[in-house]
Amino acid sequence: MTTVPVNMTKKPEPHETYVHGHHWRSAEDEKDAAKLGMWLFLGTEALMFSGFFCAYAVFRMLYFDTWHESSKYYLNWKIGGFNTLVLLISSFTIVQAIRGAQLGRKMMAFWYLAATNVCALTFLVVKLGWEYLPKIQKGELPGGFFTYGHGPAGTTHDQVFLGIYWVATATHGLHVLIGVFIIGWCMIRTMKGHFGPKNYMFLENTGLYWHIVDIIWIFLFPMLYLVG
Amino acid sequence: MTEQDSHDTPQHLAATGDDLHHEEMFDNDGHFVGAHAHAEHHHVTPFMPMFMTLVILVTLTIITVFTAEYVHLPGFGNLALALIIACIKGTLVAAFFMHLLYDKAINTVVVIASMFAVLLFIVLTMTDIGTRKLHEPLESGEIVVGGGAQWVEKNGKQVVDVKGHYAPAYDAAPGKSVLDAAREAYHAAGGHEAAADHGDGAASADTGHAAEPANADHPTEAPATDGAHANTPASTEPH
Repeated sequence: MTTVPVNMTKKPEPHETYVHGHHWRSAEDEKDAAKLGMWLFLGTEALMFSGFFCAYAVFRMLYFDTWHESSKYYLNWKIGGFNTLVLLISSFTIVQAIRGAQLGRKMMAFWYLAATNVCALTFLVVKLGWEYLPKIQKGELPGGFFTYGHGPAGTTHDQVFLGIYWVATATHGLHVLIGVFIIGWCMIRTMKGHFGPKNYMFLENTGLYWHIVDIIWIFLFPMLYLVG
Repeated sequence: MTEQDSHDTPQHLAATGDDLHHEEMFDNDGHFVGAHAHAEHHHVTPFMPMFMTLVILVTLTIITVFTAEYVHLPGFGNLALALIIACIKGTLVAAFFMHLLYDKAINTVVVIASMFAVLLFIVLTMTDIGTRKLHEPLESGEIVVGGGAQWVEKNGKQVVDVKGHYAPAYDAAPGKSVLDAAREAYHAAGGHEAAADHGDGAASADTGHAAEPANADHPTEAPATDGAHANTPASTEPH
């Protein structure tokens, strides 16, 4: 009776047989290049959001006092603070998901990714349900869509504040939504066994994207919700 | 592989990277760097530093909220404090969560270059907007071409004010420019001797007068001079 070796009974997972692209000298070079490319993309992201930060800085300087009133009146720091904590925790969980892949623990990576997506969806639900929908119903909209009536500033400064709030947070929210799909894709690929100690490049770059979303919120939160 | 067998040197193996065992023993130049080089390249994210980073980030968030809601600093103090804490938080995320501390320095170079571009963008725009008020004294007539000679309203008439001495307005003296009228008034008032009374040269006496309180030298004319600074923008000058 022949004995089948244990390692022959199981088909190897894709990450176990992963071979880096033939045009790379080594897997390290491939990973470093992918990461550098991701960082360059994150640089463009920072520059894109800096447009909103610049608009904020200019109008904050011009309408210093009325922005204090507008922020206190239109925004609730408790909602923003809750979302900040949610995003910080999600940043931690995606780091742990990468750790799971590096250690070759598939289910650890999967469940930490799932936790990250739960946080991301929580952020979006809170944002839409407790901020965007009430604001749309009340007409607290930017620029020409503003139908709220007489705001605290009683001037067009309200509309400028809401304009920057809506554009900056909605662009950030879009990034969160895109992140939900990419992390979902990571979960599928994790279950297919694509990520392991030899190959976690995609997972790591997803993590980098998710962290820049977190960093942008770290700046948007005090700027919009904690004015004064 | 036959070629590799014939050139079985560390240099060759490291350069091709075919043999993983040799790759971790030798760097790209073929120098022996030891087996631990492999572990350094495959940095496994540690648990505790990351968890402590999360704890510090949450603490800093609470500090931001507390200072913003309950501590009131003068002027831009609260905004500056909130942004400094946000910068610390962002740096922590980048250094630990985003692995900049453990990665190749080139990634940090990209980040610093991006931050430099962001700062350049915001600082230059703020400098532009923030210094525009410097031209407002010009528009409001506090600083005028021709020095201390400026249009003021006195007894309901536009007149030229030179160091507290008044000349008829341009429309009362046809053919003369504002500057000519001002010069005439200046000489009529005693010229350089009058300027010497102010204890200064002519040019610096002009600016010196503008900076003085209006009623310091000419108490009786104070209301008119006040009105001059507040009510006579350059755009309403007669031509």
